[in-house]
Amino acid sequence: MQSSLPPRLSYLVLLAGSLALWLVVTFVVKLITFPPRRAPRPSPPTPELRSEPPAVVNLLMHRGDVTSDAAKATVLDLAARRVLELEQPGNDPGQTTIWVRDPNPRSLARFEQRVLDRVKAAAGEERVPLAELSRRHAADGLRWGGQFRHEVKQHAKELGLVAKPLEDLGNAMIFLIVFSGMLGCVAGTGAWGLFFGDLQGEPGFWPMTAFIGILAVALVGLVLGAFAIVDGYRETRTGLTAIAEWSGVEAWLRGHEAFADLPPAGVTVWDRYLAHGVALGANPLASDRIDLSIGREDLLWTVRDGRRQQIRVRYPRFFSRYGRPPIMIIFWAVLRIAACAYAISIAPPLPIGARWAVAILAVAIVPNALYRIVRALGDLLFRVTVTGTVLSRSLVVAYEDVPARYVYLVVDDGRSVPLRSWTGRLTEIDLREAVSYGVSMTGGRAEEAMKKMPGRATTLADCAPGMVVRLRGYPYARRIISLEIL
Amino acid sequence: MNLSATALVGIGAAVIVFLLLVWTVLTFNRLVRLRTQVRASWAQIDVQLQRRHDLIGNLVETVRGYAAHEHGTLEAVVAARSGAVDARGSGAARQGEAEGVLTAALGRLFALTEAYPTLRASENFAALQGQLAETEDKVAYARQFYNSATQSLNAAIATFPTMVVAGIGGFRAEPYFQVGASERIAPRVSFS
Repeated sequence: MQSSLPPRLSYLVLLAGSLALWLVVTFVVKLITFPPRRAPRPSPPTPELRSEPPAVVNLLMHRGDVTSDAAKATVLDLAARRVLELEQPGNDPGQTTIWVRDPNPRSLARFEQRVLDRVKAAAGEERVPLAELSRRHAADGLRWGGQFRHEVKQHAKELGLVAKPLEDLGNAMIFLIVFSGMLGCVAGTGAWGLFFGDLQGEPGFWPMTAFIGILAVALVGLVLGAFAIVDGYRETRTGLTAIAEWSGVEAWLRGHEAFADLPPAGVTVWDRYLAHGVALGANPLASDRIDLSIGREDLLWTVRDGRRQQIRVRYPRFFSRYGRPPIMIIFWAVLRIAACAYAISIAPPLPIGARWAVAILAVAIVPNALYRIVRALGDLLFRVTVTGTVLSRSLVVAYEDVPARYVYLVVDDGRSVPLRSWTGRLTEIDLREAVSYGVSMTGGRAEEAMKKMPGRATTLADCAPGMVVRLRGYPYARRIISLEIL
Repeated sequence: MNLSATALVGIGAAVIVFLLLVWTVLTFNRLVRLRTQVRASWAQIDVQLQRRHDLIGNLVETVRGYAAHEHGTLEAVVAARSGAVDARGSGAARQGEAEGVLTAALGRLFALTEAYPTLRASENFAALQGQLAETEDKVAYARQFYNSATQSLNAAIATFPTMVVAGIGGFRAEPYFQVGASERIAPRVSFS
């Protein structure tokens, strides 16, 4: 067999063609088995509530995302069911107290029991201020929040409202068949080239071609599989119907101006409506007054142009540059480039597979490192000053026995959407100083330690939601340089 | 470009008039929205009241099958129900009064059923009772929403300067849906 193209190119074209064919088949299969999510048409405004609990409603209405309002709405739902009791003695919702009326209720969902346990841990058998819920739980908020969100999604699955595609055996079988088909294409391409091609005398090329082909298949399969697992959320037809009807309830609740200003204690009169109102984002006051301190709030209430609205907030995740001084970012980037340069310099004597691997790693690492250097230099030259209202300040403590390292500060400058959190990082020196004040830095005691520390850390600790601050920081590293309370 | 004082005054006046016009439009639209919400809330009450009246009719017929000789109580419920049905569309005040009378008559009917264990054991009666209780809850919540919407509208109409636009636009304060005096004295019913 002779091709008009150069032989090596022919085989690469054949390989690319197999990959492309597999991608097309996989895409068609995915389209058939996982139909794209379409926003259902909302129902007309209605006060008729369905049976789903508020946290599940929050999940459905945010299309798979469980916001902090879900936990708050669950507190109100438990109050509506007389498991908890909320009381406001005066005109100030800030004086609301909470009491565990029924410590051992029956037939609670797991996420409801989790919320009740958190309230019980804060309140015990006493009637305590609502603020006590956040004061006693600074330590494990992130992990608690993650577990809560997982349990809400599980409950939604049990109710038949959402489905996780890969758990369906039929879809898994289809993926297995498609994946096997692709492996067959690659193996067939290799065998055809080996026995009938023109490159039998070049042993180095074929192992490399097979390696690239299988690696590409594996990577694409892994990416799609990971995507299916991570994005394992699809509403069923029942779920879409529920979304449409809850949209009608949301429109009804938002249409009542006075409803937005109901305090948490209003659950005594408004019952499930207040709980669902918070879950639907229709009651900012009650949402604002309940703080379970789950470490991160992705949607925060703010006032812009005289209108109260929720703003999405992004927090730094998985990126080591957050909170670091720009000099350190530049240092580590230069180190990465140096390491890649060294690897390239020693690569020529290595097998072709290793040379390819070094080349791929260098292509992946060096541009990113150069980008980091440029951005960090930009930080050094152009620091930003932001004046705005503090919406949230949270200590980031991943586990109870790990000392606090970061403070997330969300400042609303009145313009940005979404808002990006700033980071104040406690250094080793700060930690040693805190320990010297005789205060433990682990768990919930970290906040007290910060209040006793001088300088920047003290300002961060004093800063509370609602205060207007002027912040100077590095925009790329999101690191706070200085903070002034106005 | 030098503007004369007259021109400046003219421009200033035009800006003020424009802003006033914008404010008037926004205020008018808000009042329309509030009034629409009041009417929508009343429509929800009406739906629940209709269901309530239908259920009470079925309940009376069920009880009549077991206690046909209790003419007085049964006819009182029937009359109160007719009064409540007739009051629909006549406004919140009259409707509230009529519903209060019906609730009181219903309370006496339920008190009566204590003497008829076979009636209380009837599945049909239990089902109707359950549905009626659910409907009463929905009426209560619908009333809350209506009164809340009415409060927002009345407050907007009564405050200055919104009252100016309200007067020009013909917006009037709406009555609250209050319980009748007879409904406030809830009869104690024991099924022990």
